[in-house]
Amino acid sequence: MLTNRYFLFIGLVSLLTNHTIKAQSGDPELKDTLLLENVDILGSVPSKYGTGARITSFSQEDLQNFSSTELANMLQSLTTTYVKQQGSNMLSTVSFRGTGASHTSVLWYGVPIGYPMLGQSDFSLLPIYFYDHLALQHGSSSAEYGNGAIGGIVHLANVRPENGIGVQATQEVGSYGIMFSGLTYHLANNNNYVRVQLLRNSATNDFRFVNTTKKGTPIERQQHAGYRQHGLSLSSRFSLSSRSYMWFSGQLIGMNRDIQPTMNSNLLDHQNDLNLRTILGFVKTFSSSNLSIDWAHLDDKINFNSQRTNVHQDIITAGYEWMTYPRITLKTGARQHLIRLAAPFYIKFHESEQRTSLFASAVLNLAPRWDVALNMRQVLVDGYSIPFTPSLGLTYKPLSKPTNEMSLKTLISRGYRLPTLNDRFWQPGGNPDLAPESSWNGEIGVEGRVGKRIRWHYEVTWYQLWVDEWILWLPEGSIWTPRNIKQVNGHGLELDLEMKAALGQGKMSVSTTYALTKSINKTAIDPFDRSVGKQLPYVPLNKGSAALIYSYKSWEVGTTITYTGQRFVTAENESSLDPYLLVALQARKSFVINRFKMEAYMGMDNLFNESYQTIKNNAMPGRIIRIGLTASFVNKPNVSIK
Amino acid sequence: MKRFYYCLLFGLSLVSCNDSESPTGKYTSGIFVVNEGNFTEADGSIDFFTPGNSTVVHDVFKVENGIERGGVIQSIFFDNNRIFIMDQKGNKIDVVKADDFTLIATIDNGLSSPRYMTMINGEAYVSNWGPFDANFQLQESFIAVVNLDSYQVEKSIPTPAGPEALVSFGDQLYVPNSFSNTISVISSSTKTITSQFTVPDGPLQLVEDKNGKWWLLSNSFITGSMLSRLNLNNEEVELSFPIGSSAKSLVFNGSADQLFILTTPFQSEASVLAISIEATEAPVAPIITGPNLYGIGIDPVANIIYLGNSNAFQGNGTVIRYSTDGQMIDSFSVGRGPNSFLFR
Repeated sequence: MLTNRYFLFIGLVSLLTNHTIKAQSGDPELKDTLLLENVDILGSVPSKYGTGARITSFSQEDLQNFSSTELANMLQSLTTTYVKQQGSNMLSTVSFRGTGASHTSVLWYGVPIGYPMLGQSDFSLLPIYFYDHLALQHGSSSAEYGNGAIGGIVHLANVRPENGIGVQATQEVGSYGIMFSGLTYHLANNNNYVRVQLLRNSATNDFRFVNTTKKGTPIERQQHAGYRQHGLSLSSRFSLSSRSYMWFSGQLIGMNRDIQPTMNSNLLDHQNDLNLRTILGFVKTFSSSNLSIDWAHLDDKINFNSQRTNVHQDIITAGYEWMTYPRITLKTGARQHLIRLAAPFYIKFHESEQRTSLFASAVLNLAPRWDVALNMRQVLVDGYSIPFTPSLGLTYKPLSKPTNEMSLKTLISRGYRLPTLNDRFWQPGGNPDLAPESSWNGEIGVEGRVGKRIRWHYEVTWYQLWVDEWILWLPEGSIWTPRNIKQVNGHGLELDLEMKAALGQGKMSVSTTYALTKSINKTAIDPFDRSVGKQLPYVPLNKGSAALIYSYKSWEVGTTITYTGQRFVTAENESSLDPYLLVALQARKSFVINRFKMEAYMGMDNLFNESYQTIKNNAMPGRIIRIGLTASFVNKPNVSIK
Repeated sequence: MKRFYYCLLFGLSLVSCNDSESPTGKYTSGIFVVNEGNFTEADGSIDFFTPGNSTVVHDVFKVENGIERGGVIQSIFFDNNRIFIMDQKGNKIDVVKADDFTLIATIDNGLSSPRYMTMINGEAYVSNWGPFDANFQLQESFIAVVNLDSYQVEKSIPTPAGPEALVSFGDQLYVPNSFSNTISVISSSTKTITSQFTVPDGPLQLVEDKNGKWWLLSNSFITGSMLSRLNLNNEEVELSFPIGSSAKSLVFNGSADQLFILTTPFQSEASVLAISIEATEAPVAPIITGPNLYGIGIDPVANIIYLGNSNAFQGNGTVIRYSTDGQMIDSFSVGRGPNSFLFR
């Protein structure tokens, strides 16, 4: 069935290709096209309305050493988030600033793609190969991004490819049966582009690990953890006129997994995931304003041990943005979100829900060095009173020289999260009377860039985060039921330091992060609860990373070092997991022959065979070696963009 | 050593429990607390409490064997200086020496969600739920017959869904099938189900009183919880009465004439009911109430009630001790999800 769809898409692509070539009309439209490029696709990150927030973004280049893996690994290695993995390439969740997995919202072109039954995303189902733009906004941001943006958001998108025709093929093999194949084709000019990507990724995943639950702590081979993923991705854009265009992106990703059991069990669960995502958008610019409309359709199927659930979502968003004044940009819009699902174990087999959001944002350039951003959002859902979510951000630039610029910034923002569909409708236990979770986030920071030959980028952020009405599933008799019970106060320090320098004929870049995260439980669920005042489980107090890349001519070598401090397993902090240090190495060498480029690469993950767990008793692999070859062909046209 | 086990079951006097063989191991006098563990982490453990000086040894298995075995531990069973650890998620049974908790053997073939164990004639019988099917039903439940010399499963006897805390009486085994309304009777000589009789819905657990009558706890989402008195000789339900909802576990006091039942009703606090073997209906009021109670045990000698508080599985639990008239004595910290106790 998958192959049929492939053919369908390939057919579609050839149609589009013809159109693109005909539409290639050269210079007159160039100016307007570039103007159009500056229009944000709704909800893209970083956006001009995110003033005051800590945003970390990654380019295609930053992601290339991870391009054959799922998003979970990269976030674990390079960011201050904590990634809980139920094994290697198994269910992986991401949390920001000491909040929970369901407090992270994942956006694809600004549209939430989290699984609405669980209110979470599985980051082992998001292949980096399909995304060349990734950005994280830390802290609550429901005013900009809506439901679930309590701890932070992960934004995924594609950027436009280079003009011309490009074909790239990658083949990688690695330890424990790792086999990755990727194929990318693009065709682009100034007005239009289309890109198609295919991937296949599998592994027997029978890695060696130290079984800490068996006598003698033997080294064992992991059983029942193999996976196979197939995917198709398409992104495109077509100019309709010099002032308007349409864009379309689509993904079909299937993952077939044996679920890795805990190291002290031998359960044989199996899961198939099939995720279809499409989004169709329209953008039109006027003299001092622009209109943007998009419609996303998301289709998520899960088959867990033959128990099937099926969720369809349609999300239609419209926004209008204008510069009413030279120094003010305003945006307002609305979103309609329809969820329909079929699930066993729900009170009704078919459930549906409508969510309506109204939002408005403004950025004001108050004075030459002052910027202020105000965002507001109100969501309406039948039967729920959802808090009004505002945010107010402010930056002041005391230094703005090209070789020394500095911003002082502050932000106060609110977040909320609706109870998930499971929270409300699961039978038995679902609780229709839950209130939304709510959070306030406040932060101050300084960010800047200094240097000319050696360029430094630094950012220091201090935040406070209060989460209330936190929903927990608790046993009541033999039934587990969710309740709004927990209150959590968090605060922390986040440091980012990057350096880029030219060293003779070589180039060097260093990128480091550090987070100190305190996330403190304020609620006792019974008189014998020992967890009040304690750090939440699975929140490392310290986490840091460093990525170093050195390139010289056609060579590039790099290393990534990630330290994750002690994490508690239980709420009263009596049981914990040891800190761990992961070191990865990468090397690549490219050869260019005319328009062909070959690149050979090798990577080594977990170089020192560290035995570690991100969730207790869930084994993670030791050293993994990957070797790959990428062949690309680029035919650039003579037209150059100035 | 077997006398300890009889102590546990029948609650003989203090004197008779003081075994003249006077074992010398570390864990010969005190209480084992079974901490079930959370499912995701499979972090179950067994703690040992010594009432005399109120000390707790956490994760005895780790202390004595150097590793955290974890698991989702449904129950443990004591016999002949061995303790059997039923690990529901690990699909295995670890066998340890009762006196020093060192690992003797692991039974890891032929089990699927092992729940409870009992013994007849030197052979062990373990109730197994088997896997849930796509509709969350149990279609492959069975009793595993285990040879305790070779530690191998020698036979599987299919049963109705959800066999729970099976007991031996005479030459027979009585298996409460918790997803049904039946008790299956298994002959220890033929190792087949010889008969089956009807009891109130959702039979969980059987205990014997001082008169040789058996008391059955049943719980059903639909019909609520029932307590029944059975005559196992003629497979007759002599008496049955409702005892609220979500009953979880029942234990006898030392003299086997008063039952204590832990019920954990939905959306209210858990409670402990005290019921005399002369009773024909549930008591008006519980003797103890409290949140997150998950397991109950009674020290048969000291007649002290032990209640496990699970902290709703968010964190590690607490054991709270009460007198049999419901007065709290003290409490101590244990592992995650304390669900039952073994008194030595």
